[in-house]
Amino acid sequence: MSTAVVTLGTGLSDAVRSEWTKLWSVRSSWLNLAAALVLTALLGLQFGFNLAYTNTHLEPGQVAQTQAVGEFGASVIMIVQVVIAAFALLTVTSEYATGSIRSTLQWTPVRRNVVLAKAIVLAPVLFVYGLVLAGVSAVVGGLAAGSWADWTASALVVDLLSVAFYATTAGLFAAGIAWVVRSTAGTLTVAFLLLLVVPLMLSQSSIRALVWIAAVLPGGAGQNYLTGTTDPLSPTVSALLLVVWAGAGLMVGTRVLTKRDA
Amino acid sequence: MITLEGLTKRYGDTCAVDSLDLTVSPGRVTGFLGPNGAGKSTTMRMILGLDAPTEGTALVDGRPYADWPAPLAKVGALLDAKALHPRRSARNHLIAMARSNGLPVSRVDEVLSVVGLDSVTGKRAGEFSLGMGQRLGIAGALLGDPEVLMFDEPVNGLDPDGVRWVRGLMRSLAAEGRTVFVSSHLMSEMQLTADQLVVIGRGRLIADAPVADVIARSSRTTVAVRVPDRAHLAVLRDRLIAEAERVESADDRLIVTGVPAERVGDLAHELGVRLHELQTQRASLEEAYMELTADSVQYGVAVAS
Repeated sequence: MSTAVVTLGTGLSDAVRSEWTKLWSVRSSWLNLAAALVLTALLGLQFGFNLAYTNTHLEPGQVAQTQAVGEFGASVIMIVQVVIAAFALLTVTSEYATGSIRSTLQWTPVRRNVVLAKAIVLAPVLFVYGLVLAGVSAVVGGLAAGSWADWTASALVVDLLSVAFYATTAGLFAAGIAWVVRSTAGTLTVAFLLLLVVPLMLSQSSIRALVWIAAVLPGGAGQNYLTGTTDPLSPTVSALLLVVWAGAGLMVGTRVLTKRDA
Repeated sequence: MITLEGLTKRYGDTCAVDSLDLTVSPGRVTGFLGPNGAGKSTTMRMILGLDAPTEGTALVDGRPYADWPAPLAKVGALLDAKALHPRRSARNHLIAMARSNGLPVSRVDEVLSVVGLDSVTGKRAGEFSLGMGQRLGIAGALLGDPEVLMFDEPVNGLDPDGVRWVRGLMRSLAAEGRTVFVSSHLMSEMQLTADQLVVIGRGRLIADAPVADVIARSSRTTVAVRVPDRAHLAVLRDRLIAEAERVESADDRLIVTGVPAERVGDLAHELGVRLHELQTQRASLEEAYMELTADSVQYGVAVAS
């Protein structure tokens, strides 16, 4: 098997180059970026105005509070994450929808390399994607909030990097399950449920076990990590959970792909 | 060279490919024939590792396809011209393909020009006609300058000019010493293109022989002799019955199956029989093929070469 080990390295880097070319040579990737940018700007605007409104229409006993602009990014990403997940999962499901997966597997017959190559291309792209969206929401939200915005640079950097980290792990998780589900609608549904709907529902529960389940799911872990929540899990553990979800998704995806006829 | 050993693919109770043993040799065009559902495409997919065999092995130059460091430089294949993203341009499709195997991107424009698509390289592949898509698929197969080429129904959707071009391409690829393995349902096309013929039916090997042999062995290939003298006719007929599969007589004629014209002529000479006509009526490949596959369907008997 020594030859297989030697070929793995070169095969993987070539597959990465191919996946990079494929990602940027279809218009849907660019449309997705544009849609997310518009959505992010609008949401940032809304969150910013909302903060300013709340602070100028205080109930008796309430105190006006400034907000770090980076936190707008955290709020916006919980909604826009579905678009980011779509960006990641479409790299897989569009291949099944069009039949081009058969070409991909013919070009790169070592199937683990196909999953790895897509993940290696997606990881930095998703990171930058999250960074840009967080930056846009921070700037737009901060400007809309006016004097209530806190522009402390160090906090902003941490918030932006945190959002970028979450976008990366959530996107990779979506790409991983895409290999299992294969259809765009199906994968989007699973991602939507696990990243947004189920954690959101369960985390509001008064039953402790359900709160725990919400915290362990990728969306809940992301929410707790981004908001710095310490109950029931610390942000560090939440971050670790996100990495585990992304890794597990990709591993299951690899396993399914290697066993299945194309 | 492609080597199949006991290659088998079962889907539940159905056996799509049934312990196929086959060697496809370089330097010639090997036609791959069989009725629909005979297992041709499944066999080709197993050679490329797209489907995993239930049993047996499919090797390309002694190794599974997936074990070659740059598989596209070993095997170029066109199985399904529609297996691409319809909204990616033809050129970008081939660039992604070239990069996946570390092939120089300059090859892309070369093969696009070889298949005559140089004027539409920026066009989305999904907007291609059936014939243009087929040409793009052939460009992909040629991209890695491979030693082994596989084509599943390559002339589908091509105009007569295109068909002739593909025929020439196959012949020249084989003449360069490459292994060319091509499936088709167009017998007349195979008769013109292929040197060797592999026929399968119900996943089993029915024939693996040179095209000329398949045609010659067909019962539809007959020798007609005309003997003016009735007595001579009877003598020759009695002698031929011992050797031939079948001898029919009609008026002053004998229609002989299973004995070549040379032998009939020699026998007539030996017996002192005067002939007015001696003629071989060759079966077409289509007739020979129909006969072969009909047998397989009725009895499932393998008529090996």
